Amino acid sequence: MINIKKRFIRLLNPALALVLGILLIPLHSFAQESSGELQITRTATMTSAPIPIHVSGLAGEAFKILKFDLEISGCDLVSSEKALYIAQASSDSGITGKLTDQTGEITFFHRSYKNGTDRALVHAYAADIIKVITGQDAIFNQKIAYCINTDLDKNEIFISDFDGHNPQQVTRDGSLIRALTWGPDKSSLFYCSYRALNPDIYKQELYTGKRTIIANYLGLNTSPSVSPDGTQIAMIISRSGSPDLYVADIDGSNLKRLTKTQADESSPCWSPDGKYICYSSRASGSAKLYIISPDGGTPKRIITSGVGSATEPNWSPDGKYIAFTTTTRRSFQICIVPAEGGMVEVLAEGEAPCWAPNSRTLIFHRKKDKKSSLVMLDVPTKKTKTITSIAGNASQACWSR
Amino acid sequence: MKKTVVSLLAITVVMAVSLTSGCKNPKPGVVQIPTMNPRIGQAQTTDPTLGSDSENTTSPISPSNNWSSNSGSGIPLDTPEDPSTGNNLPQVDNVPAIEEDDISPEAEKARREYFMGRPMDRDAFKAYTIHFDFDSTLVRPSDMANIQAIADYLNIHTDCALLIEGHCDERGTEEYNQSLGQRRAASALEALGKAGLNKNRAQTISYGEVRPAINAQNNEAYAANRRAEFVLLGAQTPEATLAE
Repeated sequence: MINIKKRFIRLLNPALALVLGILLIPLHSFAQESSGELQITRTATMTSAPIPIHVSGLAGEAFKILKFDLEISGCDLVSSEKALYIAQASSDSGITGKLTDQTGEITFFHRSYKNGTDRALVHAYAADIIKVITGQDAIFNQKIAYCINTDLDKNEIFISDFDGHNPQQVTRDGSLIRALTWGPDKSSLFYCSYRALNPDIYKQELYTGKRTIIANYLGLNTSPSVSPDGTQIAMIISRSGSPDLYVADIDGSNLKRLTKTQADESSPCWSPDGKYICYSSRASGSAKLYIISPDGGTPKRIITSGVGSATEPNWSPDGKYIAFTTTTRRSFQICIVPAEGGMVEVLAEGEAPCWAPNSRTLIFHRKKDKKSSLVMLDVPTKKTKTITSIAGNASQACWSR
Repeated sequence: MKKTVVSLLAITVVMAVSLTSGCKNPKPGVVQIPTMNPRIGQAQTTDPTLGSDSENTTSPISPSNNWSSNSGSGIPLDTPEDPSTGNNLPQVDNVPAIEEDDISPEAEKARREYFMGRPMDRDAFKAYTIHFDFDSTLVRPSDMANIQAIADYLNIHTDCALLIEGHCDERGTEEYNQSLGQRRAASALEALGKAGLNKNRAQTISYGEVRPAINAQNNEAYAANRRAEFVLLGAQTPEATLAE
C-alpha cells in the first residue's frame, strides 16, 4: 500500500512541476509590467521538467539512437536510482524492449520489434516509450526537408529521417532555393527557385519528380505556404511593385492580393484551423507579425513584447503558439509567443523555426563559424540537439506534417 | 554647388563614352539573358531510377509506407507555348503597361516577352550602383545623380531595357531579405520613374544576401552589400526571341 502511494507521488512529480510552472506565469508577467520596462526575458510560457529515465541493455549505435530520441523528447538519461522509468531492451534478433516504473513492479509494455533496420526498430521502441510517458505520438517516423548549400548562392533540396539519417537528394538544379515547405499529404514540396533566373514558386511531386510552376510573375514570387486543408496557397509576390501577401488556389489560379502596403511583407504561415494567415511586415517601420483572414480584411498586429523585430512566423499545429525569428545586430534568436500575442519567450540562437507535428519540438538552423547546422529544440524542457549526421551546410528545415 | 557641376560633367562624359558603345551594337561576349519562362523538358521523368544522374533536374524519391501518393494540378511546364511571338517587338512608346491588381494573363505575357532575348551588360552601369542604410529601402538623395544618369541613358537608347537587382547584408533572415531586396529594387525603380523613365522598361529581381559585393563580416562589407545594381539589357534581337 505504501509502495503504491510512493510510486504515485513519484509519477506525479513532472506534473507537479508543470502545475507550479503555470502558477508562476501570472506572477512573473505582473512583475514585468509593473517594472515598466520590457526586456528580453525568459518567461515560463511553456515549461516542464525533464523526465528521468534509465536505459539498459542496448549498446553502440542502437543505444545512441535511443538516447537521441528520448533526449529530444524531453527525457533525461539517469541512473536507475534516480529514474522514474526503466527502459530495458535486448538486441538479439530484432529489438525486444520493455518499459517499467522505477521498481519494476508496473510494466507498461513488453514488445519485440522485428522486420526493419535496427534504426527503424529502435525508433519504434522509442516511440512506444514516449507515447507512455507523454501521451503524445512521437516524431521519429516523420521526415524533414532542408537545403544543403553547394555555394554562397546555390543549394539543393534533401529529404531525410527526422534525425538527418537516410538522406535523399530532391533537386539538382545548381540554382538557389528559398522558402521550402511541404505540400498536402506529404507527397510534394513547394519552394521558390531561381532556376529560371527569376525567383518563381514551384510544386514538385516527390514520387515522379514532376515539377509545375505555381507563380512566376515578373519580380519576386516566394514563401509559399499551403493551407491546412490543402486547397489554398499563401505567397509573397511583387507584381504590383512592393512585395505583398497573396492567396491563390493550390495550383496558383485565382490569385488574390491580401495586403496593399508600401512596405515589404514576408513568410506567411497558416493557423491550423485555416482561418488566419500570419506573416511578417515592415509596414510599421520594422518587421512585426500580423494576422489576416485568407478572405481579406484588415490585418491585426500580433504583439511580441520583449523583442524588436519578428520574422519567419510558424504556427504550432495545436494552434497555441507562434514560433518566429528575432534579429539583433549580432545574432538571430528563436522565439515563441502565444498565438493571441503577448510576452515573448526567447529560446535559443538560430533562425527559421518550424514546429513538429507534436507542437513541442522545433527545428531550425544555426550559423556558427561559417557552418550552418540544423538544430532541434524540445520547447518545454529547452533541450537542444544539433543534427550532426548532415555533413554539409544545412538550412531551411521543415517537418512533414 | 561646384561639386555638383563637376559630377554632372563627369556623368555627361561617362554617358558620352557609353553612347559610343550603344546597345544597338552589343559588345561581343555579352551574356544572353535566357528566357524568363524556360521549359524543363527532360527534367520530367516518371522513372525513379533516372533521377540520380541526370543534370539540372528533379530527383524523385522512393515512396515509403507513411506517405500516400497524390497527383496535384498546376500548369505543366512542357505545355506548348503560343508560337506567335517575336515578330512584333514592342516599341518604346508602346511598352506593355502593368496596372495594379488588374493584370490579365495577356498583359503578363506581353510584359515577360518585352524582356526576353536581350543581351545582358553588367559593366555599363557598374559605377552607378546605389546603396542603402541598415534595414532601409529608401534611395539616398546622394544616389539620385546615378539614378538620373541611368534614366537619361535609357531615354536616349530607347531599344534597351533595364534589370534592377536588390541585395541585402547578411544580418536579416533569409526570406525577410528576399522581400527586403525586392523592396529595394522597387524603390530604385520608383526613383527611376521620378527621373523620367517609363517604369515598364525595367524589371526587378531580389537576391537577398546570397550575392554580397564583399564577402566578409564587418560593417564596411555590410554597407557595400546593401545595394541595388543596374544591368543594361540590350536591344532585343528577333533571332534570339524566335529561338526561345
